[in-house]
Amino acid sequence: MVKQVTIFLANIEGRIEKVTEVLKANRINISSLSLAESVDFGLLRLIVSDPEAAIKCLKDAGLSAKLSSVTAVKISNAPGSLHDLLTALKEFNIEYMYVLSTSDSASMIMKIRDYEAAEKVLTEKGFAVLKPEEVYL
Amino acid sequence: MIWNEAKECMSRDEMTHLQSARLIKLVDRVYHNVEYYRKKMQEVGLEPGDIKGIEDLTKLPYTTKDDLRETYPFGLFAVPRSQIVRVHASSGTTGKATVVGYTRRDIDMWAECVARSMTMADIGKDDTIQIAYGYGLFTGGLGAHYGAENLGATVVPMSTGNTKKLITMMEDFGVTAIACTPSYLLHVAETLEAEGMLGRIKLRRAVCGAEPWTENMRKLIEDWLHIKAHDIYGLSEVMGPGVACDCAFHSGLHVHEDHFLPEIISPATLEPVADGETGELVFTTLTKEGIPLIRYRTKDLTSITREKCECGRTSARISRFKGRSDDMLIIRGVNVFPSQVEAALLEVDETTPNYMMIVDRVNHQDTLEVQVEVEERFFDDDMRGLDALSKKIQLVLKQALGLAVKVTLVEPHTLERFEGKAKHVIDKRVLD
Repeated sequence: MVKQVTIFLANIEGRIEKVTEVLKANRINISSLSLAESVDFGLLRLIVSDPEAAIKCLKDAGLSAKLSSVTAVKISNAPGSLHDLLTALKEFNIEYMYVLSTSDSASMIMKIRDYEAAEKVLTEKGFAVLKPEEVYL
Repeated sequence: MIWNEAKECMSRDEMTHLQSARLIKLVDRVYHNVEYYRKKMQEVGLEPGDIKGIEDLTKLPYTTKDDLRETYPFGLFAVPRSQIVRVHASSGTTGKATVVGYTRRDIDMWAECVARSMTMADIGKDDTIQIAYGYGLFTGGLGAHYGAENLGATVVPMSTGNTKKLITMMEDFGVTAIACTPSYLLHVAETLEAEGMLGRIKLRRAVCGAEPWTENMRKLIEDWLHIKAHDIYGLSEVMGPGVACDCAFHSGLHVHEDHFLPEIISPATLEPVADGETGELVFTTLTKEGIPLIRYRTKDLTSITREKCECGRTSARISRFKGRSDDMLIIRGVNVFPSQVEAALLEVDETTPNYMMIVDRVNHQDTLEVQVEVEERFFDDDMRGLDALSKKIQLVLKQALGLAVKVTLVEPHTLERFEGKAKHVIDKRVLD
C-alpha cells in the first residue's frame, strides 16, 4: 500500500497551478498524477515524494487535501502484461487506475477498496507490489 | 432578569395610554419643527389636533427611505443642530447614504434599549463583552457599545477586521459575551476550531443582529460554541441595534414599544393586517428627538403578537424575520428568500451554511445557481460521493424553494466571509 494525495479543486483557472506552486516551493516531487473532472470541480490525485509533508503544506496554503491508500504494482513493458495483472484481480473492483512510470519500468497505481486482500493475492501470484520507498521518488 | 420592569411589564391599557400621550406630543413636535412632515400632513388635510391617540395612527402618512434621501442630509431633523450630539449614516448601497442624528437624550434612550435587550440575553455587569460590529458611521458598534456600558458590563471594543486578535483576547480576557452578526460569529467559531481553542474560551452568550438569520443557524451557533445566542434587531433609521430582542424563550423579539410603536401592514395594499399575520413592519418613534420618524416602513417582513410572554414581559413581540420585502427574489415567478436556502442547507450535514446564490437570465429564462462549500471532513477520494452530495443538495433545495437549482460544490473557505451584513445574492439579471 502506498499513500496517494487527493486534492478537491474548483474548476477555475489557475487552481492546479496553485498546487504545483505549493509543491515546488516545498521541494516535493510529483512522480505521477491523474485528474478526474466533473463540470464544476475536479479531483487531482498525486503520487509524491513525501505525502505527509505534501498534505501539510497544501492545507496550509488553503487547499483541501487528503491522504488515501492505493496499490502500486510493477508491470513489464510487454504485450499482455496489463491483462495478466487485471486477470489476477478479477475478484476485485478497481475504482480507477493510472500509470506510474519510472526510468526503467512502469507500474500501475490502482484504487481498490479492499487493497490489503488484493495485495495479498498479487504477491501470491508473483506480482511485484511496490513498497512506499520504491514509489515516493 | 428584567432591566426595566416598570416599562417592559406594563399592562396593555397602561401601554396604550403611554403610547397615545407620546404620539400626540410627537405629532405636534414634527408638525411644528419639520417642514417636510408639515407639508406631508397638510397634503392629506391633517392637523396635529386630529391625532388624539394611537387609534388615529393610521391617518398619518408613511415615511420611507426615499423621504430620507430626498431630505438628505438633515432635512428631517426636528431640533436645532446645536442639540445634535452625534450622527450616523447607513451604507448607501442602493443610493445616497441615509443620515440620522441623535440628541443627548436619544443616545441615553438608545443605551437604555440596548441594556434591556442584553438583559434579555442574560448579559449583565459581571460579563466581559466584545463588541465586534464596525465602529463608525454604522450604528452597530457604538450602539451596542453604549448599551453594554450602561449595563455595567466590561466592554472590549473590538470592532471588526481581525479575527485572530479577537479570539486571542477572547481567551486571554475570559470574554463571556459577544455582539456581532450571526454569519461573523460562525466565522469566529470556525477560526476557534481551526486553532484548537474551542475548549479554552469562556464565552456563554451572544447577541447577534444586523442581518436576518434562521432558527437552525441559531442552534448551530449554540451547539458549536456551547453558548446561548439571541437575536437583536434594529435599523439605523429608527435608532440602531436594540429596537427589539428575543428573551430566553425565543418566542419572538420583544419590541421596546414605549419608544417604538410597531404596526404590521400589507406591502401590497398598505392596510394594517391582523396580529399573527405576516406583513411589513412599520415603526413610529415615540420619543426620539433628533430625527423622529412617523410610520417608517422598514421593508422587513414579520408578524406581531401582543400576548404576555412566559418571561413575564408584556411587550409586543415580532416573529423571526421572514426576509425583507426588498431582498425577496422572484425567480421564474417563484418568491425566494435567501433565508430559505440557508435553512435548507443546514439540513444537509456535509455542507457549511456558507453559500452564494447567483441569479441570471439565460435565453429569457431565470436561472439560480447555489454555490456551496463542502465541509472538508466530508470530501473523500471519491468522485461518486461528491456527485451524490451535489444531487442531494439539489433535491433539498428544490423541495425547499419549489424551483430547480444548479448546485456547484466549491472548496471550503473559498466563499467570501463578511464581517458586516453578509451578501448571499448576486443577481446578474438585466431587467428592462
